[in-house]
Amino acid sequence: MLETAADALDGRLLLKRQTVRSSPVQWRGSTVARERARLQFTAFDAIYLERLQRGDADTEQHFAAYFGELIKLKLRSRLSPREAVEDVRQETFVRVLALVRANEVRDPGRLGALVNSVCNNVLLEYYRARGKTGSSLEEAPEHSFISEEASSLGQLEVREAQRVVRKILSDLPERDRQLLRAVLLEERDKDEVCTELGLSREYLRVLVHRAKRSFKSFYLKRFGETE
Amino acid sequence: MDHQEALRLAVVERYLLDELPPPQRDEFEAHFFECPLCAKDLRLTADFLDLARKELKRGTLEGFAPRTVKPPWLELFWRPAVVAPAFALLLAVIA
Repeated sequence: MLETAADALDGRLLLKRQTVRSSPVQWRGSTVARERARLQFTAFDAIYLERLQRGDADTEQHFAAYFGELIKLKLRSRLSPREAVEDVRQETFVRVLALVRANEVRDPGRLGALVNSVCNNVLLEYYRARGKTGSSLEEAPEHSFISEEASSLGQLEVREAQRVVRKILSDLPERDRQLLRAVLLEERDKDEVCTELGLSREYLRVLVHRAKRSFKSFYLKRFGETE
Repeated sequence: MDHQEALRLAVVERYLLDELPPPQRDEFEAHFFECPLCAKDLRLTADFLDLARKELKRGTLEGFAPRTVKPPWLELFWRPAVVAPAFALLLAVIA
């Protein structure tokens, strides 16, 4: 069951734990349909929880995909090797689903909080296991927030999304592109870059916000979502 | 942290730009695991930043940059093949 859930994340078998075994379940929809399902809001209610408890494959896939991405975003600034992120993510799923199946989750509305809390615990244990002194969630990121791995968009959407992003960047003034290049690509100190370009520190956040809004119209149109 | 506060403080951008102090960062993480709107916005912004980084790395944005388009007649006028004879004719007329 867990193998199926992990598999739904990126098409590869990530979970290698021998303690949990189940029969594989095929995802019946196309990649686009899968992406839509993944991004769609699903209420974490009593029905959802009950489905998780009895091991409904589609619900497990949604659970793993939805929270898997959030865990990845949370860990990308804290853990460096991709393998470490996967380990923590998988261990978090194992523990949360074990709690769900043991009927120890009473409030379905708190499922997200539970995932975050378990993830924090797993992360702390991971730091301790590595023998890091003073390891805590407060420590500085080990690398840039930008990951080298592929976007969380499905492969079919990436090319289209790239075209949109290229257009958005091309329409920006050269100074704004310089700023983004320095921060995102060269990973230079943000304060230093803003001073060099004669911009306020707040400008970077506003720039990202505006560019994101342009991207958002494409994103919502693509997945047919409404706010 | 609630959703309105997250919007007001533009926390999504600040989180991904690594600008939040640790307590506020943890607070926002606790929030977006429970708030589908913030979770969606976070994913979207992260996708945008990842793709932007890739595009900037490719370095092909100049080809997409809007160029100033000159009117064809003006472009034609400034060609040496047109300017030189015109200038010669002007000199001849003056002489």
